[in-house]
Amino acid sequence: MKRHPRTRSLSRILPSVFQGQRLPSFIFATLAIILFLFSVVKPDNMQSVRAGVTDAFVPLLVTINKPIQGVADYTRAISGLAALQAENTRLAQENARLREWYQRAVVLQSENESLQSLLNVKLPAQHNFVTARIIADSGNTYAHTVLVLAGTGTGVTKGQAVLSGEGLLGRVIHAGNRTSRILLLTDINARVPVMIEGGNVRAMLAGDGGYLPALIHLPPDRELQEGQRVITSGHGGLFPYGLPVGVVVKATGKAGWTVRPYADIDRTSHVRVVNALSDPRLQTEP
Amino acid sequence: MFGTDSIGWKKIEIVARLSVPQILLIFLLLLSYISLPLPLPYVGMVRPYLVLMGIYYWSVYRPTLVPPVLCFGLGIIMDILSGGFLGLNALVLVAVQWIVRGQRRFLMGQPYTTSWAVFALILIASALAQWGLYGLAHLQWPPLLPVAGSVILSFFLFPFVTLLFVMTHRILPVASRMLG
Repeated sequence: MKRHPRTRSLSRILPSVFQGQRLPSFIFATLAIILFLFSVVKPDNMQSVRAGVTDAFVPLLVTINKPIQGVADYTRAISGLAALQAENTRLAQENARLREWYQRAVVLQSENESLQSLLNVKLPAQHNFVTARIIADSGNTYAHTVLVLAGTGTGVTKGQAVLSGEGLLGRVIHAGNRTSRILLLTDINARVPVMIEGGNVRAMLAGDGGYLPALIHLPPDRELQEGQRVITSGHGGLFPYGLPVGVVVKATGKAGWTVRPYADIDRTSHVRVVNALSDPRLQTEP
Repeated sequence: MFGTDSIGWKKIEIVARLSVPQILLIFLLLLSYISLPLPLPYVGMVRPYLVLMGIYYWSVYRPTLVPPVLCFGLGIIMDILSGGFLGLNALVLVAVQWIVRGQRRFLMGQPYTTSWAVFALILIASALAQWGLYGLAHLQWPPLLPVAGSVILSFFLFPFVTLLFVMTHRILPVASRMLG
């Protein structure tokens, strides 16, 4: 290995850092360290700068996304062609079954509404949804966040719950003008108050950077079973009650329980942001 | 003899050619953030370090194209787009440029395989540094397996991505050393 001709005793290395070509590197490395420490101590600072830069990158991200999504859709269509016949039969059967369910649901809904009006029940507010496309993710292996193309302009605000087609995906942590960042259930920082159905056991769902978030703060005397449904409990007021989360699975390699989310976190391309609406029936109550 | 106009055009052409590597770097940066609807579950966490490859290659073969300020800027953009801590990517990219640039006289004379092996070392060091800093900031360590997967993927992607850089390198004007 070729070295610089001058000797590098300790007394010479230190000043050499501040000379010539190394100076910019040193300055920018120091600046990066300062910024890092600053954002560790105060993570919520400079949100407007972040949102501005992210919004500025939206056109580029969307442009690059388009052909890739196109190819993905195309390959999915091609690979799905073979299974089309079987899929069609299955869907036809499911449709027939769902039509029966629909009729029953309509009857039950009207019955439910009349009973509620009789009993004067105060229901939690109904929700509607903002559908948004995922345009980017965190780009690294540790942070589990995604960026979606919907912001405060379309009614998305910080703290709202986010669903994929199947179940809870996470929540909005920053809402910019055109984009919002969603913290997924699996992120280290994610905590969701949940309830395990069949016994009404309450717990906290805690992401750990892996694929199956863990159930913590379980009551010690309650026994769980694999396959039990997990829904949001609505405690703390951040998430509405009753959003489907996943099923209980025994943790591998350690004691305790984890949850396999209903949401297919890797393969989701569109999300639904839960936008709380005040219920007209509640407003008319005296 | 060239007139003043043709010299002006020549300069524009040189600047245009010199900006190709930077445009390629920004393209690679954006590519790192595209969320692919992958056909297999659990592979979405594995992400190649594409920008790192660019910084490494240009730090060895044309360091004037990736000055510390560019590494810092790209790193900050990556930090903002990832929604993570500011400075995490910036620090790693500036440090890689710093270290590699100091060793470029040795690296330039080496065969491609040595350059690849050194990249592997840089890759492992930066992945571990980022993982460690991220864990330290959260006081909880994220799983190492996806990090290892990303490192392995990056290692095997390196020759293909450097092929792009070599192609870009060919269209760079030689005389630009004064300019660039």
